[in-house]
Amino acid sequence: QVHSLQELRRSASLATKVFVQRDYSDGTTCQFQTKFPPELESRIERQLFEETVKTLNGFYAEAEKIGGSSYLEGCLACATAYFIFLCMETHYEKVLKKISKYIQDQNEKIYAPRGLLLTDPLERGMRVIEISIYEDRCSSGSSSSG
Amino acid sequence: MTPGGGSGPMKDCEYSQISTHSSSSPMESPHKKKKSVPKRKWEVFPGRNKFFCNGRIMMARQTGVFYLTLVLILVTSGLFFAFDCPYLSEKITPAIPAIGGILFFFVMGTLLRTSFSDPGVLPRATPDEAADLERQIDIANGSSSGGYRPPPRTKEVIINGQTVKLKYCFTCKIFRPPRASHCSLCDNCVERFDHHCPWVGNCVGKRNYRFFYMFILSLSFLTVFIFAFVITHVILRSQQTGFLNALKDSPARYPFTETNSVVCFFSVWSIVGLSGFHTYLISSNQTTNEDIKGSWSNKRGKENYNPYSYGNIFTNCCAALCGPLSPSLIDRRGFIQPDTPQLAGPSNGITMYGATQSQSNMCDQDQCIQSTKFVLQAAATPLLQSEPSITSEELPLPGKTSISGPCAALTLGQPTPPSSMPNLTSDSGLTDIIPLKEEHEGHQFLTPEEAPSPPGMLPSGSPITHSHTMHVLSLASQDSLHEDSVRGLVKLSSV
Repeated sequence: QVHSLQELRRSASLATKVFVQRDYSDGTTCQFQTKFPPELESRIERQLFEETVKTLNGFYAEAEKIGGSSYLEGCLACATAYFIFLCMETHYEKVLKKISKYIQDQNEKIYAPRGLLLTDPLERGMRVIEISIYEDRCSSGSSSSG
Repeated sequence: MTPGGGSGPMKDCEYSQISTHSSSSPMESPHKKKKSVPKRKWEVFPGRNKFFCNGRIMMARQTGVFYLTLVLILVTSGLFFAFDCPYLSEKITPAIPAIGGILFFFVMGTLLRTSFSDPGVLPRATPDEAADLERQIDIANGSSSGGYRPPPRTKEVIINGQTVKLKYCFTCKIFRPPRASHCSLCDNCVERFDHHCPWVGNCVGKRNYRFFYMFILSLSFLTVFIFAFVITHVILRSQQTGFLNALKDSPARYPFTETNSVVCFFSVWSIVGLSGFHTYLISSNQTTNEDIKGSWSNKRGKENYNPYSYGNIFTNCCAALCGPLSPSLIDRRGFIQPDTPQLAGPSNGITMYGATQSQSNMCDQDQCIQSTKFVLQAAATPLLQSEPSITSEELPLPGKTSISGPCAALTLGQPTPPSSMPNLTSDSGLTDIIPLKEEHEGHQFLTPEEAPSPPGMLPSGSPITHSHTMHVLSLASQDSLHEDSVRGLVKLSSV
């Protein structure tokens, strides 16, 4: 069945949630495992899912990149006794906005039509990418327990 | 009488509100309740933190020593500016108070930043996450005997070739990321946990370590500065008039100058020492926690080298002080959404989080009511989200299992949230509610959309109903949550 994002809210019931955990092999930087969860086997193509996670990983790497511009931002902030943070948005926050937009975009185009929904990791403490799997209410006779 | 569409007689009646607690103070009407100020997340935050300015400022619970720090800095600097600076700016240069002033503002700015900001607290796991983790752990370990706390769960990861053990935090129900630690004073897991500093009244972690370091560094400069110039002041005066005369000339100033010197003398050693220690930590990219435990050896080629170090001192320093500042993960000023946790959308996370936190704060009886609220909101939200014109005919009977998944799961007797809060009272509370509806099938209950309050007009022939309702209600504590659940109850039981 093909759903739109709004339809999901009304007509579908939540079947289960899948959690994509963090990948710490590179240290404490924010990266997620690209391992394909078996529960999604029947719902989405492997390649699409991996593409999403890889793009997200790329965004987070960009946010946490230590380089010239981040040093400049850090030094400037220090020089102003960090008061500059009251008016300026940090680079990390800018990238987070991009990520949020990307996730919404992916949800609308790819995941919602397949009855899935991504939750922004920021709302889960950057620990997991939560993927909610929905069953269509009319297709299942009784509700599915969580 | 039919509920939903609303028939004539019902519209004309006045309904008195049920008193839901013994003091019989009237409940707010549902209309007002729906529009009442929604709670912000900091109000239901599960850790032991204090919040000020509507969630903008976050500190540890014990803040007495922080005020002492403030007083010491303010008094010492104040005395310096008041008594020593006029003489020194005259005699030597006015740059002295200027530099002193800049240092002082820098110290205060960094101190307040360190004390008031989020050190990098990790939010606790949502119930679904916790359940998923438990399931995975059980699969890995085999079943463990109930009631007995299993041995600490660990996960091993390889970081830059070094094996690091991730511990499971029983309080927060997460596997702690590397370098995170649980602060027992604040009852939070903090990322890159350094230490809990009573002097700044907060934990020092990933997000405020650079402010902390800048604070102690600038404070050491300030104390050395003040100490040096106070001594200079006394020396210059004594050169002019002789030492004893200098002290005699300014009897009012003498105790202050002396006090200043004494305070500064002791501060200098401790603060400068601390700055030196943290400079070492930064250059080797370790936390105080790791250093105390002796986790990593400094020598190259040894087995337990530090996997987080970038290899050279300069990069380590830059990364710690000038690296990107990650955002706060706990969203203190966000609102708790009244949506069900199960429904889709980005608000899902906020809902779950808020609901989880509010649950963990409550006692058993309140958990019962809270989980009831989950059920009812799960059923009721399709109504809430759409226009109020939806009639209650669309409302599924609680007996049917076509309510959204978790709702039905609850009626089947599973505790909510699953496994992380096994709460028998929640089951009994629900089973109380469902029979209530089935027993008194014929009685009319109004939906909150029609009546401004839960029905005071219970049919006189149903004292049992009333007492049953009261029984349910008597489980509740005197807060607004049970009012919601009562209203939800009313909704569910309307035919």
